[in-house]
Amino acid sequence: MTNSNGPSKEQKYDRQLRLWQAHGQLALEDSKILAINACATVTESLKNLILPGIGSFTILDATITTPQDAGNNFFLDRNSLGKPRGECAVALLNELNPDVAGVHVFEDPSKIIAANSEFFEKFNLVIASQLSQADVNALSNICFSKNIPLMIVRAYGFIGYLRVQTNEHCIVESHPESNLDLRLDSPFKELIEYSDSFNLPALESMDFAHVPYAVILLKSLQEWKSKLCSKHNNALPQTGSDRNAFKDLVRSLKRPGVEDENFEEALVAVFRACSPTTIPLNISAILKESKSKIIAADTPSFWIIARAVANFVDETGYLPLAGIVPDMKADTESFVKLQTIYRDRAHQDALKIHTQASSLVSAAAVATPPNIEEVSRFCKNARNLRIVRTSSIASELTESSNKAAEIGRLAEDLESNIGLYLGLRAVDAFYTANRRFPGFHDQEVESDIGLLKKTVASMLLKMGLSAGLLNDDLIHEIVRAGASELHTMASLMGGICSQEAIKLITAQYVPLNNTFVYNGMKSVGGSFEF
Amino acid sequence: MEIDNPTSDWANRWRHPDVYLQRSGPYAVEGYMPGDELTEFIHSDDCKILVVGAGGLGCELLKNLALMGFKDIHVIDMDTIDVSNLNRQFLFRYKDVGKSKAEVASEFIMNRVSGCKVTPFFGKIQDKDEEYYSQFSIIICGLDSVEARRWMNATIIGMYDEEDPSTMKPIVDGGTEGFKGQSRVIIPRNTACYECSLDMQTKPVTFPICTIANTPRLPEHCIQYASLLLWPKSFPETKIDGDDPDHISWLFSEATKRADEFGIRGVTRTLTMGVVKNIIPAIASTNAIVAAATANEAFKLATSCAPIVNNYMMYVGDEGLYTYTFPLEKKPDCPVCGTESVKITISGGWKLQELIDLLLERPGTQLKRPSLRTSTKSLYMQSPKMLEEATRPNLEKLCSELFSSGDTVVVTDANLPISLQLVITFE
Ligand SMILES: [Zn+2]
Repeated sequence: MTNSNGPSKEQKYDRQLRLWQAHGQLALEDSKILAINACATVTESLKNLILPGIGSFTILDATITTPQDAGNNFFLDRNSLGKPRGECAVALLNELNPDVAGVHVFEDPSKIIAANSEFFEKFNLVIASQLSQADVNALSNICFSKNIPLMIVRAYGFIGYLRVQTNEHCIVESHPESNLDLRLDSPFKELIEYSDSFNLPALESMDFAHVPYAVILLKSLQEWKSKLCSKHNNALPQTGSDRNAFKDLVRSLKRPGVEDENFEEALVAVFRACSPTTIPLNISAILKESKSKIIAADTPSFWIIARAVANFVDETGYLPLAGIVPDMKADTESFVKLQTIYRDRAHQDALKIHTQASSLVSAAAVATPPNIEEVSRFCKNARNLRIVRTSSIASELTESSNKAAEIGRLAEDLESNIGLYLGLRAVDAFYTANRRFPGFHDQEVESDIGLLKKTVASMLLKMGLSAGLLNDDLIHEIVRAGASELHTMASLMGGICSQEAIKLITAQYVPLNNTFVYNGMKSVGGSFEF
Repeated sequence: MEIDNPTSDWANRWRHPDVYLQRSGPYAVEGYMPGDELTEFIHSDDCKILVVGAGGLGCELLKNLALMGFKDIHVIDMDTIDVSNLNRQFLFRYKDVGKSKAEVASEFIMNRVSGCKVTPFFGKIQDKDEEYYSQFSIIICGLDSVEARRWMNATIIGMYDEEDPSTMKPIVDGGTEGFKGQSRVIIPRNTACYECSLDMQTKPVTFPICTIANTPRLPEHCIQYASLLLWPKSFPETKIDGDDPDHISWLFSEATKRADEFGIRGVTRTLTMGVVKNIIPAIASTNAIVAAATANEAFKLATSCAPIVNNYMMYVGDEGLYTYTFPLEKKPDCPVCGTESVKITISGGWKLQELIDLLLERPGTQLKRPSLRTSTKSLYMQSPKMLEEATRPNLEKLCSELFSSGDTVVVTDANLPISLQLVITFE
């Protein structure tokens, strides 16, 4: 993919493709991002999305660059003073990556939010900062109803804030630390045949030392079940004492004087091998939900494949096999054979599910039915699917909701960052009442401390929370901040925001649900689900 | 270009950081003196900051420092720009590939942030001496190598003379790997230093050579067969250069042959490069987070406007979003900042070579080229050549022949400015 004016994408994006692979990159390149208000926090977020190669971005901003804007934003400079902030930022951001094009819309975000909700439908992610509480509330409702993920990000003095809103985010590749699915407790035919092909006593020492641990455990479990079935009721050794007895059984198969690394591996794996292959609760919930959905032309692949998997589970009792064998001490031939057995079986499962999915969509005229790669990826990750559904920001802002009580409970932990979160809400209430941020002007710092205390008290009262939740020192610090957007805090929150945006766009890894607050004084972060 | 233009600041340019230079606050720490003098100090060459590394973290750090108002910044990097840097090292463009990172980054910052002076050094950290490092108020490390960090840490802490407070240079250090990262502050002999936490480093995965040679199972085994066994045989005079596409092509092709022979799947060019160069995934967002947290500490250290991190912050972003901040403990027997000697017990029947092997392996030591001596004689010296030859026969001698149980052995390393006091007892 080399072209005359630049490097190939494989070269340029090598370090990130190792994290989300080519299909993650394609999702990124398909994305259209809307950024509201080109403050430093937002342009920093965009920078980290433009560099890895999003499709396009649009900045919605109707302000003119102020002297302080040009001072804390890397994508504005002296020449931007007096010119539209969004336009200047787009020009400098566009230099970052020739593959990404950005445009500027010089319109007041408040007006668009109030009068033109269709505007947002062109985008698959919205990032916003510097909006009033009323605008955030309205935008939250628009994005929630249109199923567009929304991120509100902010750097205020030494406080960082990010809120993610998505009403349904389905993840196939959550990238768990381990994805082990060996089925040793319930081996399928090919696996039993493979294990039976090893006649342990007859093996030469060298071969004995290279028997894969999967075989050692399969044989041990076979013996456990057959010899001791009357006593153990054909069950797996699951209690502590059973497991110890089982470990002794594994050890008894060792051959003195022969290197036993494979047995050591088997003993380490005993706990997992003895856990029955079941369907995790969150996965059965997803499968159950898939059955309640009517498949229509716009049903996402995730739900179609989930439904096909649900049917497969009904038929077989098991999830499709992941088909991955972890590395284990073995000779090449036995290992490759073992890998092939798992892979073939996983492929068969995926084919069945693909056939099933195809018949599901044929009735519903789905435009792009799930292809076999997609189905295989789903099957491989069937034990690790995730769905993230956040609450809406609008519901969080309802003052007398159940959320308020939960917030109050969390705020009792004085070490938590909830105080900072409440502080930011008070700042917004202050702005709504006074049309300026507390401490914005040097000469009003002292008087604003008193004013903000009153705002805090009335806010907490409306929320039904005790008045002492925010201490006076914190209120003083918030007034000291005076709406300062420190570049370090803007860059930090921009980094955090873009990280979560990448997870949302690629549908890989697990995004934040749903609020992160950072204390830049102590350098302590906290995640909350509101 | 004239950059020392006194009129380069426009009114209200520094309004955002000025709030924390001009206004007192209940959380400010001892020594905080808000006012014009503090603002002037930050903007002046009395407050010189060194950024070590102009890569993923370095680019971010330079931008962050410049926009917080630091105007005299120095940057060291020995590397040149590679195409694979462009997904995150945002001060570089395709046309810059092959040029010095430090120089291109400095130029870019000075063009974008008027009035900020960035002085590059295109070379190794080891090329500079104590006199050079002593001119800075704060040292910020954005490095990707354990070796370089250890050297920097040992050098800066070694410079600290408790009689002379001006020799105390805080180090702020950041590091990333994929969706994870960390940022920390090191106050010499006050908080844990980099060497204190050496055993927290995860070592790269290594495969036993007999697996690679005889029973390969993974594509990685095939690649290492090509790079560790075939290459030295075929090109005994040439070291592998992971950045040379011809070298990678040869290794990829040999690894593929090997894999085909054994029926192993999954050898790709990307994986070949990853294994040969030990590539760690790197993205713009993680770099931004860690560099910003790191620069934020530098700003607080320089101004005292707010407390600093105590003393280590970890960020994990692959599953949800977690940070964990905790005080890392100093090790009393740390070879860099500790005051106690390290006590180890070995068998007197060990050969000196076995003791040296232990020092290479031990998680808390991990030396590369150790030299050993007692208070009276040299046991083994890596250099100069004559001394190495003279002491080499000792490697085969028993420790009990060379020194007595309870003796102190001083270990130094050719690659590190440290000296480790080892009290060795025989079992
Ligand atoms: Zn130390």
